[in-house]
Amino acid sequence: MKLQIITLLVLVFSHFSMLHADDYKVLFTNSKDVLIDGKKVQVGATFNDKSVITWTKGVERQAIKAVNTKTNKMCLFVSQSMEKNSLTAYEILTANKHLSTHTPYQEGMDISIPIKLRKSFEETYELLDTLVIDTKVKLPSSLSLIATYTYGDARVSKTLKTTDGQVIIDRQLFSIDGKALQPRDVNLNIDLYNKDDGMYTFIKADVQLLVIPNIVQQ
Amino acid sequence: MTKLTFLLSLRRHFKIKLCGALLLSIGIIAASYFIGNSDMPMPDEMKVLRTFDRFMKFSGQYEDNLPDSILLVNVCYDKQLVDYSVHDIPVGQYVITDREKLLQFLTAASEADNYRYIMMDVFFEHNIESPQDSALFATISKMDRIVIADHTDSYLSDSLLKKKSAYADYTITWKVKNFAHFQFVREDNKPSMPLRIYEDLTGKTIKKWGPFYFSNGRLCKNAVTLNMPIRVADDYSLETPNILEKRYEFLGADILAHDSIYPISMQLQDKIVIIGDFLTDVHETYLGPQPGSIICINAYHALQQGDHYFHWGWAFVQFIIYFIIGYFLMSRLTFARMLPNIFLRMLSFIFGVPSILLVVALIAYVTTGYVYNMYIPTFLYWLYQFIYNIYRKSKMQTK
Repeated sequence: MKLQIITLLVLVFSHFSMLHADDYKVLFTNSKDVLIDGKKVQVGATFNDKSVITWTKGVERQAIKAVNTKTNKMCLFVSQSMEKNSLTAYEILTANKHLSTHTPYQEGMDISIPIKLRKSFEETYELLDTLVIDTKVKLPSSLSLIATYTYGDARVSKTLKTTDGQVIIDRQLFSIDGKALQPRDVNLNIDLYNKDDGMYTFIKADVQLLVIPNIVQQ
Repeated sequence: MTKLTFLLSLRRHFKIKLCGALLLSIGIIAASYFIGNSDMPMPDEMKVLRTFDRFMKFSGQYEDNLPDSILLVNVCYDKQLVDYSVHDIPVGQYVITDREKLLQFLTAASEADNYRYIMMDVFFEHNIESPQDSALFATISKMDRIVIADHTDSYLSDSLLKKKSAYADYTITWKVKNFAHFQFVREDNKPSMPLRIYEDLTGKTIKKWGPFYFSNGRLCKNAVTLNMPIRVADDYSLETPNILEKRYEFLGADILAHDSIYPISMQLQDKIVIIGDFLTDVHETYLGPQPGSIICINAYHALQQGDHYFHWGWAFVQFIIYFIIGYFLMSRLTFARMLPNIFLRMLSFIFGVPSILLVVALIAYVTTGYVYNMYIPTFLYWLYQFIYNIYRKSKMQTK
C-alpha cells in the first residue's frame, strides 16, 4: 500500500513537472557540433528546459535559435554567458557625456548606428590577409568609418572599406598615397565620419591590430 | 506675522477672493482640458514624465515590458531597392521595406485569419513603386482587422489603401522637439492608428461635440501625455545567462524563414501584430529612443486602459488644490507664513507651488498612472500675478 502511494505521488509529481516544463523546437543553429542530451542538434528537433546542451569547447559564439512551444516566443541559446545590466542609483541619476571633439550624438543621425558599432568591435584582431568584421550595421553613403594609427612619427588616418554590414580591414590599411608601408602591429582609433556635416563620432579606441607576417622567417 | 494678522489677511475681501479663486481653479481645469486636446505638446510634459520615470526606477517598478498578446515584427533588415525619380526624371534607386516579403506574410496571415489585429507601421508613399504593389495593395484592402500608416503631409501610393489607413503622426513645436503628447483624432476628424485599432476591436470611438470630446457616452480627452508602460529596451531579454528571449522577430529571418517548422498561423494566433522598423524609425521619448510602432501601441494601450476618459475624481482634487493656491495668492500670502518654525519656513521655499503640484502629480501617476499637466496652472498663476502687479502699480501711480 505504502509503495503504491509513493508510486502514485511520483507519477503525479512527474506529470506536473512535465506540465510546467518548457519545450523548445530548434529553428536554426550556427553550429552542427552542439549536442543536446548527447545528440547532435538538428533543425526541427525538440528539447525541454531540463535538457543538457553541450557546447563545443574552444569555439565561441555558438547559438541555437528555438521557439518555446508553450509561450510561442523565440529564444536564443548561446554558448557565451551573459550578465544582466542593472542600473545603480548613481547611474539612474547621472549619465556620462563627452566634451571632446568626439561628439556622441549628431542631430539627424540614426543614433543606433554608433551604439551598435561600439558593441561590434573587439579589443584585439589578428590580420593575416583580410579581416572581415561583421557589424550588421549598413552604413548610409554619408557615413564612413575612419581608422587612425601611429606609424613611427606619423599619424595615419584611413577610411575602412565597408560593405553590406561588414567592415573590411586588409593590408591596404598600410598603404599611404599609393605607397605601401611595411605592415606592423598598431593600435587603431576608430571613428564614424559624417561627410554631410564633417563631424566625427567616437566608436572605439586602442583596438589592437596584430599583423601576422605572410612569410614565416626561419 | 502673528496668527491674528495672518487670519485677518485670509478673511479680508473674503467673497471677492472666494469667487476669484473659484474662477481661477475652474479656468485652469478648463484650459488644461482644451489646450490638452490639441496636438501641441506642452513644454513640461517630457520633463514631468522623465522625473516620474526616475522615481519609478528608484522604487524598483521599472521594467522592460511587452505583453504576450503583442507580436513585434521587425522589418529593419527586410529591404529592397526600387527605381526612384524626382520630377519624373530617374535619379537612381531608393531603399524601401521589402514588399515581396510583406506580401508573403500578409497572404499567410489572411489565410490563417487567426490574428487579433495587424498594425502595419509601414508607409506606402506616392511615387515609390515596386512590382509587388498591385498584389500587395489588393491583399491589404481585402483583409479585416488591419491598419496601415498614413501621414498628414504625404500621399498614399494607391487609393485602395485609403480605407485601411490611419494617421501615424505627432506634432512637435519650436520649444518641444521630442515625443510626449499623443492626439487620437487628428486633422479632418481622421483617426490615428491607435484609435482605429481601438474602434475595430472594441466598437468604441472618440467623437467631437463642439469643443468637447466624448467616448462611450463619457467626457474624454482627445490627447494624452503618453505614459509608456510597453517598452523595449533591447533586442533580447536575458532569461538566464545562456538564454535570451527575443523581444521582436525579424520578418524574413524569423517569421518567413521558419514557416515550414513553425508555421506563421501558429505565430499569429490571437496576437496583435505590430509591423515596423525598430532600428531606424526611432523617436526621442522620456524613456530614451523608442520605435514609432511602440509609441503607437502604447497609445492604443492608453485607450484600452481608459486613460483618455476625463477623471472627475482627480479633477476635483486638482480643483481643491488650485483653489487653495489661488486663494493664498489673492490674499498675498504664502504657505511659508503658516509655518511656526523658521527652519520649516526655509524648507518651504524649496517646496514652493510648483513642487506642491509636482508631488500631487507624482501621487496621481504612481496610484493611477494618470499624468496631468502642470505647465498650464503655473502659467496661469504667473499670469494672474503679472496682471495684478501691473494693476497695483497703476493704482499706486494714480494715488
